Amino acid sequence: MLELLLQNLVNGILMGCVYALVALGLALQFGVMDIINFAHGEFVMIAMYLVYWISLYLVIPGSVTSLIVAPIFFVFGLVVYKLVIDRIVGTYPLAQIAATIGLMVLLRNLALAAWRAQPRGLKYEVLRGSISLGPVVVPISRLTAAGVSIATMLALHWFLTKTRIGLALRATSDDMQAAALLGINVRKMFAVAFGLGCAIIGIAAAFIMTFQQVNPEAGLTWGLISWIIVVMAGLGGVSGVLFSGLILGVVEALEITFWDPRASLAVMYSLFILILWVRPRGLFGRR
Amino acid sequence: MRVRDLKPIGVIVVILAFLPAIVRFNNYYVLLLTWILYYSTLVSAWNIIGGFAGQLDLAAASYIGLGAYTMGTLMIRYGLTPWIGIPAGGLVAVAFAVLVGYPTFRFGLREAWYALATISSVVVLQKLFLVWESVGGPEERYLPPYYGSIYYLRFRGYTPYYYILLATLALTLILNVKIRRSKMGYYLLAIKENEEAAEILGVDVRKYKLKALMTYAFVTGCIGGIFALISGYLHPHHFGTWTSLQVAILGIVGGAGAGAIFSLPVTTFIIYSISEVLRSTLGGWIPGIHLIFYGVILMVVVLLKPEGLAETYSEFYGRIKGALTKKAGGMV
Amino acid sequence: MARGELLLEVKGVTKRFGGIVALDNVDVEVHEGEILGMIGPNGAGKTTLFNVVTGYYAPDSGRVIFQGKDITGRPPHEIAKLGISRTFQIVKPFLGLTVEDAVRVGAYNRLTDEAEVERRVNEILEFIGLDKLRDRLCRDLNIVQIKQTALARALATGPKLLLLDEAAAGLNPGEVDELINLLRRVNKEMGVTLWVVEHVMRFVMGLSERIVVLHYGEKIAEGTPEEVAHDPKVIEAYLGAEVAI
Repeated sequence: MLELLLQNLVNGILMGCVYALVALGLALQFGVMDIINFAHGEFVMIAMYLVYWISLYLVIPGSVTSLIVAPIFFVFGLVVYKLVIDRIVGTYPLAQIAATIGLMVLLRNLALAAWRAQPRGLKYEVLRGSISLGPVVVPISRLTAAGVSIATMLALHWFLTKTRIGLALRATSDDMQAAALLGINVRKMFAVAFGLGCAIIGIAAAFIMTFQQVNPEAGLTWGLISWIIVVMAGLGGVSGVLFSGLILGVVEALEITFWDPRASLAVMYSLFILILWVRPRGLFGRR
Repeated sequence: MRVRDLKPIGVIVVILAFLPAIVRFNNYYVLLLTWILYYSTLVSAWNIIGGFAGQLDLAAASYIGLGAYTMGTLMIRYGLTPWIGIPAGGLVAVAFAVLVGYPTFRFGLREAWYALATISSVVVLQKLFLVWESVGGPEERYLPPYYGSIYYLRFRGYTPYYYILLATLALTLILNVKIRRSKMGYYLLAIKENEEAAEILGVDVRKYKLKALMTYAFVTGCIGGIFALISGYLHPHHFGTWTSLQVAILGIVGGAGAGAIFSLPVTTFIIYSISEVLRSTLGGWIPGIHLIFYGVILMVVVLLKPEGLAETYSEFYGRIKGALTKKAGGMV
Repeated sequence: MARGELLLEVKGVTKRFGGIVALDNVDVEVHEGEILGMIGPNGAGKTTLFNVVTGYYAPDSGRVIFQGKDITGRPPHEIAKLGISRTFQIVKPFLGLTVEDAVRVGAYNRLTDEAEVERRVNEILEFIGLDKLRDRLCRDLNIVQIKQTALARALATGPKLLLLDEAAAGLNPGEVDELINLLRRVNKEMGVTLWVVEHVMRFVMGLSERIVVLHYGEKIAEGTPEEVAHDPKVIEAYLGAEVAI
């Protein structure tokens, strides 16, 4: 029993890092623009499909496709921003939410129509096998994914604190009006934040595909995970997102060990509502 | 003023009352019409929270499911008549609404979280009822077949249910009108426009959001009970996220708001019909085409007119009325 | 309450935001029937003080006493019921509502009978001069009309005390004079005490009987417009602020 718990906990921690990475893009977008992208999960799902197709046709390992998918998704983010998000910034909250819900419904059902419900998994990948740490077996793919997640988070943290654009983004997220007064092109910051968030999704998707398969239904789960983490993280920055991800990963691990793996989703939803009840400002927020 | 406002309701009701006869009581068409009416009523109820209060509530399926299970369980276990069971379901829905909705109405919490929390509630309830063996469970629970009974409101065929829903729609529309003309209506609209400004004008934002939520939840819960009667059984998949989304989308595209009270049934009718046509014709080649359709129209509407279509429809009706009165030679 | 009696008392109010002290032990008295002006360089804490008085913020220390009742920390809608209303520095119009609807919202503060509400709405619309625009959507109004509507809806609540936050911002001198006349009428004919925050000197000096000056969250001067205009501390505060930029 202890071994099972240990195994699941290690898995949970590794997955927690990945969860954090997936949520990171959403957190960035939310922090800067104050808009929750309901289609976030669907973006992840589409990125995962993209990883699949590129890996298949270019015959390269899934993990390597991240180098291609990330920039593609950055552009994708800019396009979505221009066509959709830009129009709803600052309007009624109902309209903002409705627009991204529409996007979610559209993408999800287009994916279902185009690719059917059959799951797809990578054909080519180098990150195979696992290593043993005592009683615990750690798949290399998950270990790498967690490592890449942490690396990306560090990179983003560096970007936000040490570069001019990063500081401009933070200024915009702190106080839009003040940032505008300082000469920052707020709309451009929004576009950058959105694109960057999507690029991060691209990276995450590539590495998730190394140990999971994708199907159009996956969007809902990834979306939920991201929203929970964003609520938990509040405005606590990159570290807040990481810790929230880890908490979620550990909770899931405990849930799988002591209860029913199938109830995983319900537990997460309940956790989500619980946090909204108890700590709506998040566990790590500054405000 | 009250009577004048109710005239459009009368017109709608009369037209709808004749529809089953027009399709010669054909079972397929009556069922279709029943579903359209079902959604129209849901959307009109949703208008209270979505149109007046401006909150994107996605818990309709939760209230429907709770109303269904309450009414159904009372009938199955205790033989209780739905005349009591339906309002009982409404009350259960209200209790749940307060549980989920209340904390999110705290000052400073975003509307987006409300939307997410409400849709999450649907999934949680579905799982809950799946494992709750005594009341729910993974198998269908059939309602007792007391057909032809008004006491149990169980009928063969869908026509009687059509008229039950028609009556419910009428009541819901009247409720909408009543709210519109009352302090509650003005307060909700002010809240939707600008909560901060509303507060210092004397509006207790939390209290009125809660009032709107409870009203909508009650009506939706009652409709859930009716739904159970129509489908004839209880099952956790009554808690369907798509239902919640569909109601919200129909509401938003239909022009949720105070000005759209009468346009909502009309647009629901049109949109639902189109989606059914799409589903039956192209659905074979492109599965989910009708769902894609919903996504497309939602985005088109929201991106073109984020402030809502309520005005657009009011203007539209105004122009039609103007054209008609001109034709009638100025006779109003 | 007789003219001149103490209507509102702000006693020792302090408000901090993180490390910043927005209000530092501020005392202000507002007397029944007067028009009190409040000036100070940007960031002096004027809007913060309004937010504390109207219940949007709770002070870290100090009290707000209105008509003898302690209203510190009560929520805005309760304070509105007790008789204080306000307009906002950044206008918050009810874009999707008509002018009449907006005023109606305010009218429901005190009145429940529909006929009375109707009467009050008409009364206010006529008084402010918005009668012809009653069916116009607030979205379609110009800046002057928006401000008039904001004033109208606040007045509809039937306040004893009205707080105006930079009501004259963005108006040309002619419009400012009109606003002054309107507010004088509000004060004299409707018996509403006014507490006015303003940067436009023409406005605040022309309208106020008495002025309070805030600087870095502290009250640094008080008196008639004449006295305040010649107070060396006030002059330094304004000059100092300009030089700093």
